Amino acid sequence: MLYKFKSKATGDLIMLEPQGKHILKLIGKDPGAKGIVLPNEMLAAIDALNAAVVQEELSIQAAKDASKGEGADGKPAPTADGPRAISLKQRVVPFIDMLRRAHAEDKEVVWGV
Amino acid sequence: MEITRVEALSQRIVQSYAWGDAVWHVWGSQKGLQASTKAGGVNDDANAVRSPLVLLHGGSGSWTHWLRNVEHLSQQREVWALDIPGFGDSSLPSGVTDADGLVPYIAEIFKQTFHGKAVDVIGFSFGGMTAGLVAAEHPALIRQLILVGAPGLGLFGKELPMRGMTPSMDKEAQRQVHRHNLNTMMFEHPESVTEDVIDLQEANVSRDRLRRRRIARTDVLAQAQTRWTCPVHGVWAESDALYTDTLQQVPQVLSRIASFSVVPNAGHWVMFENPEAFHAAVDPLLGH
Repeated sequence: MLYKFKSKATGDLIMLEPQGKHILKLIGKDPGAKGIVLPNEMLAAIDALNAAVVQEELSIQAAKDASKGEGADGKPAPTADGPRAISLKQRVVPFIDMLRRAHAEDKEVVWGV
Repeated sequence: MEITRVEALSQRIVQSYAWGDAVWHVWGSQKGLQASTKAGGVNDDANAVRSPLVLLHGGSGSWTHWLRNVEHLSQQREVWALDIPGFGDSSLPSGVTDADGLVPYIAEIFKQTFHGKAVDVIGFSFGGMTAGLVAAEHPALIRQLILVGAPGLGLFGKELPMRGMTPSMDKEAQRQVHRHNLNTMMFEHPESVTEDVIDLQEANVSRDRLRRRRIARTDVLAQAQTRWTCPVHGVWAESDALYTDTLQQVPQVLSRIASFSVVPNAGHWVMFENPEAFHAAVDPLLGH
């Protein structure tokens, strides 16, 4: 399944199911097949996504610091995700922009309809 | 003519390599800005923001594929539009016939031009596929990649009904072929194909020296994604003729991309047919 987010203020944004579900949960929405984000919910949703990005960055940094502490040989320890993992920050950029622009034009964002 | 006006705003750079010349057009150059700033110059923050943004055009194209974008993008960035070797004013390296053969040449050009520093790249169609191959082979050269309507995903169905030229055709018949082909593949709206657009297309097609390229129909780009290390985003037109029934499969096949945005009211040549909506999609990805 794909999540296709639509708004009259922007072009569509398509996400694979795991990423779409994750983002919807972060903004407190039931990740069902259909749904809506109302303009008056958007600023809180943006804050929630930004907070999750900061949280992820802190966890990555903490994991890096912890592995540095353990590595007595001075070699950089591999991170859990590896260098190829896509960060939440990269994933949510266009969704946050969609919410911002939809909010500015007082239009809702919908999916599955 | 729009091309003349926009080109006059650029700095044209010709680089000589062992295999021939590579031609860049640069807008928003920091040197130009510094020269025009009498007191104080450009501060470090501005320098950081104005990091280079490289544009790679599509097949049978040149920098003019970005004609309606370079002024907007150069408000925030130093924009470097390359004529890909074998297209536009750049030379064709001997023995190169397709995107895969171009990879070492593009890598050499990037290394020389940006001194090994990773740059952001937007690659359209053939240029996107080529950039994706460069990102796989030379991950240190690309910081972030935005693919626009790129082929090489194994998603093409039957061939589009394109028309060919014959030597016996007069000028007007040739222009009709360009009009038909632009309507078929590049644009959603017939009124987008103006006489100026046909002039642009004619000038680009006549300089295309990679006519036998074939790998766009394979899944070469989908295969390459496992070796990407930089963030890669996808921006596709809603009415891309190459993805009529397969647009939603793109993020499934390109599972390594970080986001997939669809630009409304445009065909394959999305940044030309609907530049405002295209800019709205790419600006946040570029941090603008």
